[in-house]
Amino acid sequence: MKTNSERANEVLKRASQPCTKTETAKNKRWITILSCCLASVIVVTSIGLGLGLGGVFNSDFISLDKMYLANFANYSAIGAGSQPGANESVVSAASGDSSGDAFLLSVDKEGKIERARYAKNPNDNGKEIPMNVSGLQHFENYTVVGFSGWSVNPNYPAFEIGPYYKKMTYVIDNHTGKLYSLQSLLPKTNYPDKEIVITISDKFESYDCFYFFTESYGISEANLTVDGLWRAYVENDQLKIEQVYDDTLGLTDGHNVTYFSDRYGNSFIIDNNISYVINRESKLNRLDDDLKLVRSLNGEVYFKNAQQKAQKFDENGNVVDTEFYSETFFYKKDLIKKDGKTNYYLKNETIYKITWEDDIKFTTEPIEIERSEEIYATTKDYIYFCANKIIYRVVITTGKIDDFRPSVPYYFTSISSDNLGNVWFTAINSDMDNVTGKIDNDGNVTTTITPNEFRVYYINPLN
Amino acid sequence: MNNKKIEFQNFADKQVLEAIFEKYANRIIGYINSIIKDVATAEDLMMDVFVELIRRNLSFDCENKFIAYVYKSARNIAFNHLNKSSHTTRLTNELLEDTNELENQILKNDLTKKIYHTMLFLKPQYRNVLYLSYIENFSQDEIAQILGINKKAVKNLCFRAKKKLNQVLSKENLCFNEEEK
Repeated sequence: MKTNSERANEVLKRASQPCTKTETAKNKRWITILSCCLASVIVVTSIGLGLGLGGVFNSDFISLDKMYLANFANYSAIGAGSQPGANESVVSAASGDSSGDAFLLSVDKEGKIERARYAKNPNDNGKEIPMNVSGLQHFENYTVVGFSGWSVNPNYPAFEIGPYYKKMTYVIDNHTGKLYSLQSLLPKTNYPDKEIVITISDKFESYDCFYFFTESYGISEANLTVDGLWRAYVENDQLKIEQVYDDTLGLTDGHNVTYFSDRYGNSFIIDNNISYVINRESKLNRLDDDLKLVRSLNGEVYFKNAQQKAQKFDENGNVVDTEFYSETFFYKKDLIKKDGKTNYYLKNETIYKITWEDDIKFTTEPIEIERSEEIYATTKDYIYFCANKIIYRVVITTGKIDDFRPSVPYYFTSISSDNLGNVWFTAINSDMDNVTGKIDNDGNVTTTITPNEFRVYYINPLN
Repeated sequence: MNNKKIEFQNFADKQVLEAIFEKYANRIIGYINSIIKDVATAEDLMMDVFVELIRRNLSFDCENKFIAYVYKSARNIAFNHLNKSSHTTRLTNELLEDTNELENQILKNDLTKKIYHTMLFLKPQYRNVLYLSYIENFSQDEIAQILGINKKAVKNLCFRAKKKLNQVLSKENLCFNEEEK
């Protein structure tokens, strides 16, 4: 570091040349602009010629607005994952624990996983794009995906994403595979350092739309305000967003506020012991104090009134009595098996069997797992547990250990699954060599393996 | 050490500038560094603050106004730099020495150092307000003036930043409370 005398000399020297820096800056700006123009021409041309995405490039990233997931008709599921590097072990690749450049994955009807490709027309073969997935949220009708131009540790399924001005959050219509830019619809900000956080979670799903809330923070103006609660849906081939709530109550002034929505599109705000409901017509009602509102797995919101009578909110946001009441809720990431009208969720070392009678009514049956370990991986029918010298598996539908006993004398260190029925493991053999292996859906074990091509973080079936 | 009473005017006078630097240079460098995390560039940007001040021939009738201007200017320059740059800083031995020297001058104790190191992992906005609040010990009114926002917003920002800081500190079984300032 310089002495103060040296600093003073340098400051005075710089200050005595008032125009130089500005002119240099201007020149640099022009050079930058010209370079950008040239680069843009080159890049746009490259994209246009090479990727077939012509004319959709902005200065920061490729815009995917109104583009399609290529060959979407052949999709059975959509997810996110990454491709392990050449030096990366197969199991760390399959585990999803390590970070990497994550991207959108497509799963075709045969279960084959590929990196998603993007096209201007739904039936085109499309091309891959160099953008990483930073977040993914799956709803029944929509998938929300956040992209980043740099490597990120993805966060699934709920996510926060910024910065605002990058316009990198897209909504995918699960019926058509078309992408719509979400952030470009939000109000513009003039502050370059202002960022916006979009928060989306399983609890924001409604039958024909989804909700999210935005918080912005920045130094240039009042900070940390919740911009509001928003409704999003696709109509007439356009993504539309409507602000449901703009924090006129000032609830977010350092308070611990919770937001969620119900299946009918009513929105709920809980500020400590005070709750509000906003119906689809944006009519806001304050509810009685100290109500414990719960969003159930069926998307309805229930509570018990002062007389302990079960009540819920109807399509208009009105409180009505209900015969069915359930506080059961699971996140999509906890779903381990779907079998007709029965779903199985794994949470806190217990399997929960959910049997649907109709859209609303369901029964919950906890299934104790005969023996569980911290390290596990799930496949379509089994939960594989890893306990040092053994790998064993539990049948999802019963919680019982089955007779699968791989005769491999290894000290297992990790296991993971790839959503195709394969379980990948790492182990150490008796010679203290590292071993990587695979157990297929039939229980066959092999240690001569072809590296798993994809590291799957999260996959959710399309309807 | 220049014992002359500091006057916040005539910054083109080398003696005035040295006296100002004696008292404020490292603090401002520390502040900029808390945003951009590059002490060498922070020193350079600190000088830019004063270059601009001289060019505009500014003067201040009291220290508070000077501080508000200088920190605000430093903040703007730092964020402008952050927005423009995508470079990565190579941590050379020389840079490490500079960082240690700076830290020894502006950070009073081990806990403050720990907080400083930890907050460097947070987002720039958080680092910014935490530095002003807990390293510089500026009041919320002063921070509001520097950041050009209202006091309520400062309070909110501090609340959120401190929460994030504690999340990181808690991983090391540390907790930061106001009393520990």
